[in-house]
Amino acid sequence: MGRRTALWTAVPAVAAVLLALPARPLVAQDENRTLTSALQAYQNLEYETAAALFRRALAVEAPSPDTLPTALRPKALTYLAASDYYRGRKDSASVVFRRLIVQDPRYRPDPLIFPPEVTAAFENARRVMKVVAVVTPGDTSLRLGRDQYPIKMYASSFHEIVVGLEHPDGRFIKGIYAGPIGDSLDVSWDGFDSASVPADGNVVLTVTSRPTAGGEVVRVVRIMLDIHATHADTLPWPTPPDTLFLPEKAPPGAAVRSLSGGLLGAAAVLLLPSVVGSGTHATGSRYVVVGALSLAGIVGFASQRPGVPLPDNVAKNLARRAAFQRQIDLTKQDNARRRIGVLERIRAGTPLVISRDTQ
Amino acid sequence: MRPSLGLCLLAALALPLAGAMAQGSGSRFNYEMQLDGAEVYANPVIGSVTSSLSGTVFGGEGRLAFGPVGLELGYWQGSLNTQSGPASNEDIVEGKALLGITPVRWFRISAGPFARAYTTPAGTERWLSWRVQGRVEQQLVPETVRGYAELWFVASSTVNVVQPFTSGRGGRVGLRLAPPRWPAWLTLGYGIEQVRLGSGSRIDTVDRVTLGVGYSRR
Repeated sequence: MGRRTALWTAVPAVAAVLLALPARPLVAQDENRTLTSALQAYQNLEYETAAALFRRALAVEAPSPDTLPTALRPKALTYLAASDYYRGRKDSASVVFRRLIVQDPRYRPDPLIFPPEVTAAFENARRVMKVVAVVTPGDTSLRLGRDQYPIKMYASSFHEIVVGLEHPDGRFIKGIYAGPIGDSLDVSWDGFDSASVPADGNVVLTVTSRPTAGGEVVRVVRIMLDIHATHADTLPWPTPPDTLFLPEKAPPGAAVRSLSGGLLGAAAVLLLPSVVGSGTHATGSRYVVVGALSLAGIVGFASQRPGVPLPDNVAKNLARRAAFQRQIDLTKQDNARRRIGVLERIRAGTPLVISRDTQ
Repeated sequence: MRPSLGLCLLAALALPLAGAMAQGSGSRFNYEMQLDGAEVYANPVIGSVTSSLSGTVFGGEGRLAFGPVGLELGYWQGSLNTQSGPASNEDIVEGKALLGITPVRWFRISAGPFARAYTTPAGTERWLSWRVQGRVEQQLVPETVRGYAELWFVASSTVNVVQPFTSGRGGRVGLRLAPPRWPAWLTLGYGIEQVRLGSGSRIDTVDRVTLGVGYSRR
């Protein structure tokens, strides 16, 4: 009995929950149903109805739950153009195709679904349209001098384009590419302006389309690039090797040490027989050693007189100065690399299209 | 007298070994070697009888050092001829092996055995002394000539003669000519050693002037 009572109390609660669910999914489903109905009408050759339903499905463009998903819009536009075409409104079909091409220059109707006359009408519209879709990284970083900022472009048909950079107020910064574009084109930017200075701040990437070289501008795509440049720290200068330099002129004392060393050595040779071998008659040949030591002491004294240049020390100091200068040069080169070794973070905005086309 | 077989063997073994060690051990390993000839004068005094002999010995010495620690090896041999007195001609062979340490660049202290043998028709007299020596060096001409002086005393000695060892000391002073561009250096030195046996009943004094050529790893 208790269980039955609980059941009867649960039913209204479930109903209340169901009624309280948001109606939006039902509306979205209704929109999809609109597209489904439009497709059904197209299949039934009811082109008037189909066109009306496709227009209704495409009518909502602002972001809302009623908006047709972006992935389905080219399909809906193609069917709308085909419906208009078969209703005998070929101009209207052409306008719809142009709108489709503007939205996605790379789109092509499926020839297995649409008959040749429809695809031919699309091709006719595509040939006269000069549209470029520009694809850039949304948020990326560049190491200047090493990396390139990639810019991919997809064209609706062959025409001439000019790719460049300018300040937000329109002042020219740098040209990147000028020439024809066929199906697609990849260009890149090195991150510098025309004066080889790393770009910083807001820069506008512009892609200008012309039917022919020097022709009338039919379309400009502008993408704001927000650039934030950071510089690497430079290295400190090497410490001068002042403490490593040897005296280039003989200091006082060295000469006396040499002379006294030589003379003491000579005296030691003379005295050794008396000190070590008392009462021994030592060989006279030792006077050769006495003379050599005395001569060495005198030569050492003469070569190190105070103020006399010391060629060996001068040569060593020269080598040390040269090594220090090489360190300076290497540091300079490294710092120069570091100064241009800027890391640029680039954030690309939404493309803004300025067009003379009827869309 | 035949050329020194021991010296040749020592050089043949030491050169490749030193080269290999130098390559493997970097700058902490150093070596030097020297070939020399010496005019030797010996004056043995036994009681009141004095003799005098002289001659030439050839040989060499070398030093292997790893950091401040080094091993000095030397070998010489030659003949001495009687100049005066009753002593007969004799052959002389000498060798040393000293282990040393160089606490500062200009000073080294070392110790080890020094052996000497005199061979006469009557027999061979063998001396084995234990020597402790100090050596100082001083630059005389910058980068070219260095002078050195060694003094040692004989701590103990074993001699196969009747007189017991009493005392012994010696010294050597010389210079080394080594201009920077020369691959080898020249050395000239004078040394003398005197050993007393039997409280002075026998005094052996040997002095010599040495001229040599050597090579060291710089």
